[in-house]
Amino acid sequence: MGNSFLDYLVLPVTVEFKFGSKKQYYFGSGGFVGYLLKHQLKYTELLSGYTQTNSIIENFERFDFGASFTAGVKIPLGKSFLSIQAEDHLGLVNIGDYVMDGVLKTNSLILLIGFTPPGKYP
Amino acid sequence: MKKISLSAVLFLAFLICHSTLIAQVQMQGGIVEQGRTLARLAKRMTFCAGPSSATLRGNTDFDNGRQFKLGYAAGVGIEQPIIQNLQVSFKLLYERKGDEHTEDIAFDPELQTYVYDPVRWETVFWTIWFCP
Repeated sequence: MGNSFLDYLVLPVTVEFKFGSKKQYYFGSGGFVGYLLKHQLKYTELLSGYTQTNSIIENFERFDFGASFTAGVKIPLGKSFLSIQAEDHLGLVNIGDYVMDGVLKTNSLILLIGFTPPGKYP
Repeated sequence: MKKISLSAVLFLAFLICHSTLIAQVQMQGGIVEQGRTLARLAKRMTFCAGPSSATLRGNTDFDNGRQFKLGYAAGVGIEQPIIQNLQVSFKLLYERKGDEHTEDIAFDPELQTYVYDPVRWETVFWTIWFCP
């Protein structure tokens, strides 16, 4: 069994439309830039349990670009805010040249729970 | 002559001290202003984290053989209003993407490592060869 891990530092920027008075609902779209920090391939032999981890970062493009889509709700919690949002980062560039078809793109659908401490929320 | 040069030296020393002091005060003022800006930003920051479904796409090999994998993301975000009901959201996230797959691999005693099972790959090759 093999597991490949791609660790990215991602900067998504989205333009969001918000509505609602107490609870603020919002949805929007934009883009993201990702930078590949680490890529590891971990093999586990199912019978013996032997594990081997290899770094294969050189086979991949370091930068990833794509589209971001987001929707969520911001709930007041005293003077703070709790936010629950779904965000999708759809990679649009090829990150792997070595693979068989020569094309490999990323996609991640994230459920983000956020907390805004008491302060000036716009 | 001696008096003039002493006065000149004293005046020069005063100028250096004064300008250094002014520069230090301005620098401290700048640092304080930077600190205030950071504090203002920190008050508007949202700290977020959560699970993700990370997949690799666009490749037939990966699409067919590789499965959904649970990843995660964590970071900070900030929102800047543009007009009423419209805002720009910036985030900085550490995100783990990836996939999980099952393959036939075999131990190569010469290389002392696990490699793709050649028997399995030969089978795949012949299957593709005879497909219409």
